[in-house]
Amino acid sequence: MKTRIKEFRAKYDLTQEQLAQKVGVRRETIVFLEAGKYNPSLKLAHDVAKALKTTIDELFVFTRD
Amino acid sequence: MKTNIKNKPKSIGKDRTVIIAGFVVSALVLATLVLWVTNMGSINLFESLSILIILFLVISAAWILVDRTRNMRAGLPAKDEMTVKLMHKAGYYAYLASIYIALALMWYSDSLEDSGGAGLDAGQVGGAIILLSAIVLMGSYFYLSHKGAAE
Repeated sequence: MKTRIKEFRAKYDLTQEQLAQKVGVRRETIVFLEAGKYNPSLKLAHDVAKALKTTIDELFVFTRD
Repeated sequence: MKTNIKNKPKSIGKDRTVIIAGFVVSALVLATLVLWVTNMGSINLFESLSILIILFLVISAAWILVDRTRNMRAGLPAKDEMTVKLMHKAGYYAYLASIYIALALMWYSDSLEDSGGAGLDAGQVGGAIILLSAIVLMGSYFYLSHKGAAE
C-alpha cells in the first residue's frame, strides 16, 4: 500500500508528531503509515484523512502487493 | 462513527495507573531476584540462565514502560491500534512457542531419564515454559515494532 500522507503533511506544514497528536495515535504509527508498512483500520484511515482535510481514496493507494 | 480528531487521548488516567503499576511490579521482581541471588549459595547453569532471562524480561518491560511514559508526556497515547495489534500478534507467537517449548522440554526430560539421570521436575518445566514464552513474547514484540508489521 502506498500513501500520500507525507505529501499532505508537507502541504499543511505538519510534523509527524503534530499529525499523531491530531489523530490521537503514537508517532511510530504515523511513521509506519507513511512508509506503507502498516495497513490502518478504516477508522484510523478516516481519522488521518480528516486530519489532512482529504479523503481516504486520495490518501491511500491500495495495490495487490 | 466518532473520530479522535482534535481529541486528547482517552483513558490517560488508566494508562498512567498501568504504567505506575508496571514500574512497581518490575521493581518488586528485581528486588526478589536480588534477594534470591544473595541468599543462594552456589548457582548452577539452570539458575544462572533463569536469572539472565528474568533480567532480560525486567529490562524489556522497563523499556516499554519508559517508551509509553515518553509518549504520554508528548501528549500522545501510551498505546494505539498498531501497538495493540503488535502485542496480539506477539502473543500469538508466544502461545505457539509455548506449545513447542513444552514438547521440547518433555522430550529433554525423557532423554535425561533414559540416560540414567534425573529428569526435570514439574516446577522446572513450568518455570522454563513461562520464562521462554515470555522471551518469545518480548522478542516478537520488539521485532514486529521495528518492522512495523501488524497484519
